[in-house]
Amino acid sequence: MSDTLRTIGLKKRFGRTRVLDGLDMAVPEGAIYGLVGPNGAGKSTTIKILMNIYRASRGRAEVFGRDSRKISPRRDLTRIGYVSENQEFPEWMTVGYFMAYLKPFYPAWDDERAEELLRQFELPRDRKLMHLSHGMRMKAALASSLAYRPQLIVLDEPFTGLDSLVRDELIEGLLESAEGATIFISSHDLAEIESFASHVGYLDRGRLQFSEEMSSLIQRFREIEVTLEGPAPRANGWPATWLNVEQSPALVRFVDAQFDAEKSTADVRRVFGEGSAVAVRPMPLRQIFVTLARAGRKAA
Amino acid sequence: MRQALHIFKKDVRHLWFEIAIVLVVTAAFAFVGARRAFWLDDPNANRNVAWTMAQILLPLAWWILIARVVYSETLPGDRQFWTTRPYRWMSLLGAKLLFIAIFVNLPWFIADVIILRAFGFAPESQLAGLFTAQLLISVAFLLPVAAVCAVTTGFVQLLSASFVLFVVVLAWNTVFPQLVLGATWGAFNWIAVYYSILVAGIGALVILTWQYAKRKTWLNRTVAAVAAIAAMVGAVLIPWTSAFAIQSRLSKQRIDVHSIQVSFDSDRKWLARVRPDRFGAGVGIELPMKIDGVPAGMEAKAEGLTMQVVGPDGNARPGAGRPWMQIDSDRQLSTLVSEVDGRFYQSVKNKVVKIRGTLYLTLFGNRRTTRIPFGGERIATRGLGICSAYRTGGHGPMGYVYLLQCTSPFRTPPDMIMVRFEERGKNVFRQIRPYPERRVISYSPLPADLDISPVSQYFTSLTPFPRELSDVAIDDLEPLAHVTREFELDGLRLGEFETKAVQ
Repeated sequence: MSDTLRTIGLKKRFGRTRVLDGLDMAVPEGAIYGLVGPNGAGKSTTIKILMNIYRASRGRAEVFGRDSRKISPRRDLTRIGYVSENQEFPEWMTVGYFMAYLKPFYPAWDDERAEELLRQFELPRDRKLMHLSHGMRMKAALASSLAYRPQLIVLDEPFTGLDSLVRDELIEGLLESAEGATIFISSHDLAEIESFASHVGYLDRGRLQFSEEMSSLIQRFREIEVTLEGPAPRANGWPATWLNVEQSPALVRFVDAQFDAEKSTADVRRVFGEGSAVAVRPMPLRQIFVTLARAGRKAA
Repeated sequence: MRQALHIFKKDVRHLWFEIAIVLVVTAAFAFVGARRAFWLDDPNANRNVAWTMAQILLPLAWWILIARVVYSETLPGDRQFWTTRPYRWMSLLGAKLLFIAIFVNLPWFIADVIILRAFGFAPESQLAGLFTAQLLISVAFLLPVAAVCAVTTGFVQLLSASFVLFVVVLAWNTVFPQLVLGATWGAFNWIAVYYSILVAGIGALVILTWQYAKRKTWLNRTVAAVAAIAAMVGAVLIPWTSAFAIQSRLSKQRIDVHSIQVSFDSDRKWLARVRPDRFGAGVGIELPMKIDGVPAGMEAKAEGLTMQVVGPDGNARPGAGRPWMQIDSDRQLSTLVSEVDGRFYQSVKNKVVKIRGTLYLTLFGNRRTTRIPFGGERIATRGLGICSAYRTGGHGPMGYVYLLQCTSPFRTPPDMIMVRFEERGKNVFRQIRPYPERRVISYSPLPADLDISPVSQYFTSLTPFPRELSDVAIDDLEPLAHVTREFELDGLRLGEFETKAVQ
């Protein structure tokens, strides 16, 4: 399966501020990829480079296998739906006119689907965009980006400032309408995307700390607690995949980032001896992220 | 094209109010402008204030409309919805230019046609002027406004940019009061002005194309600043002599100038003056000159002069004045007006010196005389357009009031004009005021000047005059050639002409 989006050694500076520092990322075709990271991590900048709104200082960004700087309106933008939390809309247009105005730009525009989206999102056709609430505007933006069945949907912090009800409606509408499309969504809050993302990447200080399928991520992280019989051995030679190690005279707790039942148990026995009691616990996604973020910062 | 039309329709729907305002102002411009044609018949038609207002409001309305239509799809920034939609840049730019053409150029074109008709000009015979006027306003105003809007995010930035430009021009004007846009070049002024317009227009086109194609705002803002500087500084740096050379190449005729002789006019010797500056820095020189040998049927007008004073030892000092200011000309009678270094003058004042230089002349010819009777009849007059002459008053103590009114389409012809009020009767033929009219003219070869008004008006009057006159005769001479003539005024002893300030 080819990658719909890809960045290679992507760097971006705004004056003296380094925003992206060699970002390597790949979003496979058909994936729902959540790019997560704290505010200021470089998520929006990455998206804007991919959408050819910004120019990278160095490196390369590809969309549908082509350099993002060469995105063509006719060939590429007709296949991309883009919604951003801080997008400026033609406020004077009514919802209905906004949809009608955009229709001729897209050869694959589907009137029935557009109608359905308006109904589903309960968007009033005759109300001006300036008179819509933030949530309704995001719905209108999403509806206008789904009506032509885009192959790639790029969402930049789409749920910021929305209440949970509107957020769920948006997610529901997105998932219903975007079957088969690649979805690339950025968020500073993992909880917003963990329920539906198939892949996740964590961006911090301009670098991707990790990027993988959600299921394998949950599979490979475990919190391990070892109750010791004697004094704890010195930390030298402990596996590098043990993160966030906390230690007391009788207890060692850490996160194994490459958990494998057999190998991990063998490593614990080798380090702590046969008599130690070992408890292995699966981790919620949020805790995995906190662990990775801490580990990443420590390494930096 | 389909996408351009689609965007255009959206802009029309969005900006209907602004469009309506421009159309109303244009209609007012046409109405007030056309009514001015009848002001002698109906004094109420002469609404100078309304006409001035219309000429100010129309560009202002255009300015707002252009800004609004460009800002409908703001170019700088990273949040606009349209940047991630399949807009083709040529369609977007095409839609904006089409909008300007339909709602700025076309209504103004129609207004011009209405005004021309009211003044008695057949618009179909004025197509060159109509299109040239459109081109000049588009290049000098509409495109630069659109370009500035393309590199700004909204009215706040637009006003700031306009304010900065205004302050820079004002400061420039203050520093170089006599140089800005060659303001004192008279009929040659158009060369400096059109140079600035050309630079502004090319700059605007480059900015619009790059900005719509690539959206490189800072690069294009730099281009705008460079174009503005090049337009202002370049106009100042064009040497007057080069402007004359350009004008000379555009001459209608090639004329052999060998017969033309320039000499010191000893008959008007009493006009010669040499005035040491009271601070001793320079010495003002005024010498009457005579231009002889002008080909038959022609008149010469001295436009400028470059000179140097050559001492008996061959040591020379150039005149400090600018070429177009070193001559005061009235037909063949001219006066050299210059200044030389004070120390040099003191060293040669009592010695015989030469004044060597070059005289820049315009030769006028193809004389035609048109007579216009008093009574308001509209008569086509070469050099002045359509003219009418009026007489009011009578034999009483107030006397007669004579008035000549002429209207030419788009620009004042650069002809030499003499307006003679004539008295004819038994054994009487008298001409009143038979000398060239001083008018603001331009030797531009284009059929229109950079002006929002499609007509140029000329008035002259004779008032009060005790006797009854028969008609007005207008002598018109066309500019045929712009030529230079070397000269040498020999055997002058400048100290002879020295005058001293009394106070």
